[in-house]
Amino acid sequence: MSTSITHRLLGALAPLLVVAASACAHGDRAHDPGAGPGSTAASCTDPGPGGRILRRLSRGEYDATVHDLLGLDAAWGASLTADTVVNGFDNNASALVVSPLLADQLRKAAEEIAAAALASPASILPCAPAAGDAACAAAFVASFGKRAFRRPLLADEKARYLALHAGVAAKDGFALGVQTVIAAMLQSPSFLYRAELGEGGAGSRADTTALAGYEVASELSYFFWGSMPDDALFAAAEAGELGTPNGIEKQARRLLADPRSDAALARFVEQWLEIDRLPNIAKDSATYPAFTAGMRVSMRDETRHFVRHVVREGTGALPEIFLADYAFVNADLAAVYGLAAPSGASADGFAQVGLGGGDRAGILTQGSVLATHSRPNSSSPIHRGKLVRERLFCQDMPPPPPGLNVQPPPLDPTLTTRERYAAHASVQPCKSCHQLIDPIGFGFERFDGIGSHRDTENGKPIDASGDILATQSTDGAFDGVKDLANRLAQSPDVQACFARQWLRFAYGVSEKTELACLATQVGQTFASGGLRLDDLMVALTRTAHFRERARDGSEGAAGSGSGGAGGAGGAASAGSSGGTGTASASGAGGAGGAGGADAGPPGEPGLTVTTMVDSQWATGYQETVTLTNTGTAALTWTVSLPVQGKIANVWNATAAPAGAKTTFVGAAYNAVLAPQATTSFGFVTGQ
Amino acid sequence: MTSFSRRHFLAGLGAALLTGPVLDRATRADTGKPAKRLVVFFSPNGTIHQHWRPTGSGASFDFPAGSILEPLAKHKSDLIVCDGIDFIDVANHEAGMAAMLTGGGDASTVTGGRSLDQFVAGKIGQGDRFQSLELGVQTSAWGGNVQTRMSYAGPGQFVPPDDDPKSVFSRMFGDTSAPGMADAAAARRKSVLHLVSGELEALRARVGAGEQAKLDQHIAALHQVELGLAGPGTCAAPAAPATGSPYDNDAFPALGKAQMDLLVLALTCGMTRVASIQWNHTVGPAVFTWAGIADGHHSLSHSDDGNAAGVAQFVTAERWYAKQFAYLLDSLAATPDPAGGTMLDSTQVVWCKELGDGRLHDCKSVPFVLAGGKYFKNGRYLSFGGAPHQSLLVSICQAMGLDNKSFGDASKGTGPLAGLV
Repeated sequence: MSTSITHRLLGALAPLLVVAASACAHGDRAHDPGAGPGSTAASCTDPGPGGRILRRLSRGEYDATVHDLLGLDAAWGASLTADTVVNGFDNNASALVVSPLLADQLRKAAEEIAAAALASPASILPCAPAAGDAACAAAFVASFGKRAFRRPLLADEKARYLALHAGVAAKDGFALGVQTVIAAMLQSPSFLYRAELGEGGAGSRADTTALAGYEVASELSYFFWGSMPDDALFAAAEAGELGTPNGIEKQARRLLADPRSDAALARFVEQWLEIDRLPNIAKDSATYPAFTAGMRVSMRDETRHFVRHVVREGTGALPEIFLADYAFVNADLAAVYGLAAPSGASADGFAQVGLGGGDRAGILTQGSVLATHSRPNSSSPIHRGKLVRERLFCQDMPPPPPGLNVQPPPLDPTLTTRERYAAHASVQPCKSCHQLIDPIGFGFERFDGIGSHRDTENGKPIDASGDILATQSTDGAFDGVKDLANRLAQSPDVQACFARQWLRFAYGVSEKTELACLATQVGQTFASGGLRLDDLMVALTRTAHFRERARDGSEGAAGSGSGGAGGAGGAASAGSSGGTGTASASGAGGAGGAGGADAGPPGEPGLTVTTMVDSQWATGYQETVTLTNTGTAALTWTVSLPVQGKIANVWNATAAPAGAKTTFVGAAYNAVLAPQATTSFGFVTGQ
Repeated sequence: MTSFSRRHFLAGLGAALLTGPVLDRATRADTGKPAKRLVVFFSPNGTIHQHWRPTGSGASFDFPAGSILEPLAKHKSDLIVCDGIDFIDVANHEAGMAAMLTGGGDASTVTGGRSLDQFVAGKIGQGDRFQSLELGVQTSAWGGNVQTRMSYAGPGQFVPPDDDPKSVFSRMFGDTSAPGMADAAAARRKSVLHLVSGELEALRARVGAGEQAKLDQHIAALHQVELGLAGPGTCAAPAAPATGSPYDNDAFPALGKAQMDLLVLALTCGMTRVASIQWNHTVGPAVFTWAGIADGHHSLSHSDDGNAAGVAQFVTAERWYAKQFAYLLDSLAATPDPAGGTMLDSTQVVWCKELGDGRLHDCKSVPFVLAGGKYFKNGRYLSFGGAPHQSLLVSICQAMGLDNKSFGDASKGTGPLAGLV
């Protein structure tokens, strides 16, 4: 039994040993089973861009966007079901999907937000609702739509939302029409997803496609502000200024200089060090009565003050994050930390204080980090060591092997925490892995489960000596967090990992596949420069990935389905009629392809389809479908729509079920639609 | 109406959603009466077998005083304690959580990577107001990941639970306005949903395969939303839950009770046939302060036998979960099935865990308790000697009237467990 355990452990440990022995830079890819043979150093001279992706707004981005779009103090996003977390970050594009629960929550939020927006219509409408007319509706759809979709609306989109407005306004009034349009736009994929599809035309290589200016504008605004673009970014996109590294950097520097980037910095740091868990971590109130709800907020705010200060007023460089000999505290924190109460505090009660040569240094001795990485009723060398391994070295630790009792040593009033954990880190089989974790965590032992300083525990002196093993360039003994911080601040391992974490956060991707090389390159640039955070963030906007995407073969599909052909009710097709017209649905697919960086989304197909549910009752509903030929030639239409229930009656068309949908074909008198002509048909469902 | 809807959706949704065997109760060889509803109840961090196991065997068994399952004594005749069921070739928190309800495997399996609840719901719940209902108790403080999710719509596709009883209540009862307005509002909602679905389909044509799958999930989700827009029908709304923050550790018991009450109501009102309640998550750190415990549940789950105080606290915590399970069974037993009998008679309930002995991080002899329904022969303590849990999942499908012969990774085991019926 023990032999097999040891064998398994050695297997789990092998990647770490590879790292330790490897001369290959950034060898922690060895932990990464997803890293294919293609991502070797040899191919890293010219890293290409990643794939064409859709990035659903995260909960935080949703609230920030609603705030900027409508001026509402938004907390709807915060109440949505929790987003899936990948690599510690909640903005990973592949994980941000829409489940049935989320779709329903997004619907409810959109309806509530729309109603709240109409409470002060003057802020969003160019007219008084009572005086609302078609021109006012059109102006609203165009102006609000552009901001909601972060790009100008296509003609068929305008027609679709105007039809929605008109249908509701006719029955329920102008204002409710506007409200319904807002609710619909907030549920539209053009609002919920940030498109990074490369719809700006040809890329710099045959296998890439350029992001459109508006796509780059959203990349920038969500990276630096976690929200939608402002007017200046829209203008830069419109003027075609976001197609070059220098044009992008100019905007990136502007956004970074704005205080609004504080929130994005905070969000990165909180997810990087997992202190986004601080509000919800379990803590025993009998052991730590000072750890109140207010204390959790104070600790969070301390770290936010600190990061802002380093970037805005300090050196702006990574070492200061670890080594700062100052802290931001309020009276409550000062008491927990054993520091003098601050004088000259700002309005929120915080002031910068010197640490006066004590054991504290930088971010690792802040309560946010120490309390989060502890147990409910004690410190935890394991959690703290694991934090350093996984978040600062980017080395994922294997789980404990099965068949091994891994009891954390129970509390013992006669022992220090270190003594309790000693066997864990020094006796096989635990030692194999825990020698990589616990001796780092021991260095934090002068700080208890909420970050109070201590020289003794249970009447015994604290031993905070530690050791780092199996890293590429950071190995060695140290004593206390300050000594550890010194080592980390100079560590190429930590610098490379820090750059990698920023790439994950900025691009919303796992770098495991095509972006591994780019992560390496960005890390090298960061390390060889001044280690400044602002330079790192800007460097991430100057990469090929920020301007282009790898083609995936579906780019050419834009014309047939992109714009309004699907209209309100699903796929529709428009075809030629006996040679008298051209099939407009296939036209204009490259509208976004030729125009360069500011071309906007492609596609202006010839048929716009809008649907309106006229009435609804327990066993069925009535729906009217309106068709407009927006092309320049006559066409013969067919439309395919999902229908709920059985069609009891249909007019101005014939209906035929086809799989999951029903196909509608025009009647003799309306099957052919002249350019700019409109027709409609309708149906009733029932048992 | 209901049968119409179901028929329609089975016919209309196409082959993609019907990859499994066709539901055909009329041709079943066995004579047991399938359950009409399924409830999955999860609690984390494994068990300590010597404090979990009943004494005796078969129909002659008892729950020792002080043991974990003792709070279930009054429901002894309604349940089967299942011992000796393994997750074959699976160990540890994350893998156990992922395999628990899916049986492993990928999209090519009969069950397509779906979890038990989602697979069954896809068979018996289509067209229901909620095809399935996922309720949680503090599942999401760490966000969504393999540790915090147990329901899967496909490989890697989490189905997140709703952790807030107020939100669940709102979905069930609170989203309709005055009778006259309701139809107009519903019509507007339907128009918006159709518009958005159309936009998603149009966008789908412009993206690569990976993003298409993402949009397909979104489109399917909107279909579920549309079904959910139907009102609560004739079911009267109870008082709204008065629970506080879904993240407040000490509110854990109140949140759980509110969720169980809503779950039973949703089943009884015919809003859904498949529901789950997930308590915390694997590695879950909930501190059972209400039971006088100061350390986190996961830490306690690693108490070894020499640590008597730790083991006692863990057993206390596990007994607390058993009391919650008993409360759920009490509620179902006390509620008449509108079609006759009690809700417990017509509902198959499963208490599942993701680990065997949590201290060893293994998935051997993972403790399961089956309860309710009339399909299995209840009132027994059975040991299956290391049988693959895929067989248990097949058995539960049979209890729901389904005919699939495997669940998840068929290489680990096929067919039902012997001796349950």
